[in-house]
This record gives sequence, structure tokens and C-alpha cells, in this order.
Amino acid sequence: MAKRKILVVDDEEDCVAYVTGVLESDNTRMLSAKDGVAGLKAVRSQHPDLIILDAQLPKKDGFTVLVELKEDPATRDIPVIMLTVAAEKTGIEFSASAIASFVGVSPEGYVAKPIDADALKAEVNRVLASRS
Amino acid sequence: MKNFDTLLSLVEKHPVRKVAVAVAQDSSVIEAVDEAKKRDIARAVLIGDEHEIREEAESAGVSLDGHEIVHEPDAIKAVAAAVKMVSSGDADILMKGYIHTDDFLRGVLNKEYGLRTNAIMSHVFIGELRDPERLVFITDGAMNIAPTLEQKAAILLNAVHLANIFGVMKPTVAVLAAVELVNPAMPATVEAACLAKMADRRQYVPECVVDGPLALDNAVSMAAARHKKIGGAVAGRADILLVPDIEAGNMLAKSLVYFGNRRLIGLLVGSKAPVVLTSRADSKESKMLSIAGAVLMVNITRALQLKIGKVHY
Repeated sequence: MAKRKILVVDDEEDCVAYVTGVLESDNTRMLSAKDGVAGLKAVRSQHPDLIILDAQLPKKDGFTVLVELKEDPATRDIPVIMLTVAAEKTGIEFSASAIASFVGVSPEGYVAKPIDADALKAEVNRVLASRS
Repeated sequence: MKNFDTLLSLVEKHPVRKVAVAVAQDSSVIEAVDEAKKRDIARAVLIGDEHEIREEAESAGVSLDGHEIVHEPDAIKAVAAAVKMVSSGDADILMKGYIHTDDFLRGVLNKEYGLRTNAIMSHVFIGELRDPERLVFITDGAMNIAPTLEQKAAILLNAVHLANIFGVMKPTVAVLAAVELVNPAMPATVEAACLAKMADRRQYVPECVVDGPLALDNAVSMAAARHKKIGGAVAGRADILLVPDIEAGNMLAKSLVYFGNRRLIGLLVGSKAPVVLTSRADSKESKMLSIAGAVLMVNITRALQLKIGKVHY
């Protein structure tokens, strides 16, 4: 059975390492990209089963990447979990519905930073289960 | 984002920002900051003639309990105090009160303590449209009087930045003129064509979708665009309307309010911190929404680390 592929798009190496450590398993292969442009390129070349996408990215922010993914018929069905900085720091709580009303497209899930391992696993399982 | 109700839902509830109001003795400004405080959007420091501020508040039926007041009866000095409060980081947002725009902007642009950055400073009106419901960004109708081609390119990128802050991540830009044909007798049409060609040549970073010249009708009405057989990604659905000069932009934006009964926000872009620049005659709702827009600028800029783009020459 082929391993499922999860792409993490985040410029913070510690965050990528943490997410990889939490989600990597015998049947899950983890991929990563460091900015929005590289993230889009990786999606189109690697065809991941799930994208974990930080909102705050160099070169192209995560919300613009999300819009481009959801506008492209080739990538719109790949589920996306957004990582957003907690509301206490930014003044805005970006739930999936808030992101949808903000940019007009909705990610399949979201997890607030700093990331709680259990919350991340639960959200990944929920999103992937809804796709199977 | 399609309307200002979404804006309010995004900025309410969470940590409030601080607004320094320059020459605050204006009842609609006081009502606007009071409404912003009640909604947990922002709190204000009212800088101006304290006696007049209290009189205006009383006439508006607003209690000043919980509002900070700094007494400065001289209007020019009140602007300087408010600008310094923002440039030093003691406040997040600057707001114009009951003072002429030119006197206010002189303080904003002060070389010693003002809010200049390397980017050009420009003004954007944001209006709500219906059928379909969406936001439109009109620039520059309040700051740059007769911008050059180079200034227009920078003003365009400022507006793209603000559109991104309002959730329009890939805005389309129409460079407006009286007609959609290049006419050497109308310099605005020639510059509009240049600005569109600059997009074709990828001179804007980030890349922008720009078309021009377009007349207002074929920029915002798909039916008008089709009737004139104008195709492309911008005609009929422009998010940003880049106008040729301050007169065109000012009249276009105010016509939304006075002929169309639409809600309007007025903000400066390119300054160190957001600046709320509304007309003194604007409604308290318009001023409150502009405060909310400025709070969104602070929050989204920090959340996404968005920066104003650049033009390659």
C-alpha cells in the first residue's frame, strides 16, 4: 500500500520538524516547503494527500496560496489545514469559517499556533476521514 | 471579504488597538470612537480642546467615561501630538478629527516625527457594492493631487496591498479614464495603457492583474464590457479603480455615498501606521468603519507579515 503524503508549508524549521515528528509514521511520508511559491510548486509536482499550510509565509502568504490552490481544478480537492497565529497575538481568530468569509475560500481545517500535538493529530484525522 | 459586516466580525472581540485622534472636538468622531470602544474594536485618545471635546460629546449624548483626553487647544499642535503618539508606538492608529486635510497631512508628513516610509503615501476609499456584493477600492481621491506615471504605479501597489489586507488576495486593477481607447489628446489614457503594459511585462512585484484604459462602466459592469467587446480578467469585475487624479477619485467615491447610499471607508496606505482619513462631513458609521479597517490593517499586517510591493524599472 502506498504511503500517504503530507506536505508542510512553513518557513519556521522548528515548526516543520515538530509537525513532521507528530505526524510521520510507517504509512505517512512527510514533505516540506519553506515559502508560498515553493509550496505551490511542491503541491503541483508531489500531489500530496494533505497540505498543512502556515498563514505567515515569505514570498507568497498562506491565504494567497490557499486561494490559488482552491481556484485550480488540479489542486482544489486536496484538503488544506491552515496554521494560524493565536488570536491573542494578532487580534484575529482565523477559524475555517472566518478564513472563508475573509478570502472567499475555506480550508478544510485549521490549527492555532503554538501547535498542540493532540489537536493537530485530531484535525488531520478528522480531515482525512472526511475524504475517505 | 465582501462587505463591512465581515470586517466588523473579524476585528471585534480580540485585543483592542489604540487610536490617537487629532483635533477630536467633532461630535461624529466622538460618536465613532465611542461605538468602536463599545464593540471592543479600538479605544481612543482624544487630543484637542478638552472644553470643546466635552461640549461635542454632550451634544452627541456620549459619555466620555473611559475615554482618554489630552488637552491641546491649538489644532496644529494637536496633530503633532497625535502623530508623535503613533510614530513612537504609544498608539497603533492615527485618525483625523475636525481639521482641514492639508493641515492634518502636513503633520503626517513631518520629516522629523511624521509617519513617512520608503513607500509613497496614498489614500484609498473602500466602498461596498451590491449585485454582486463586493468591495471596491478607489485610489487616490484624497492625497496625491495629480500623480505622475511613476507615482501611479506606486499608488497601484499600495491599493493592492490594502486589498490583500481586506482578503482580496488577487485583486484586479482597472486604470480609469474617460474612454477605453488610447487617445493622445487624453494623457490619462496613455498612462493607463503604460500601467497595464507594465503588468504584462511583470514589472510589479507581486504580479498584478491590470488593464487600462477602461471607462468606469466597462470596468465594473460585465454587461457594459461585453457590449463594448472588451475581454480580459479585469473588465466588468475590477476590484481596484485607479483614477487619473484627485478630483476624479474624490467625486467617484463620494458619489457612492450621496447618490448610491453606500457605506465608505477612507484610509491612508504607505505610512508607518494606519491613518484614518475621512471627510469631516462623513457619517459616524463611516468613521467607525474606517477605524475598524485601520485595526484590520494592523492585525493582518502582523498576522501575515504583508508588505507593500515594488515596481521594477
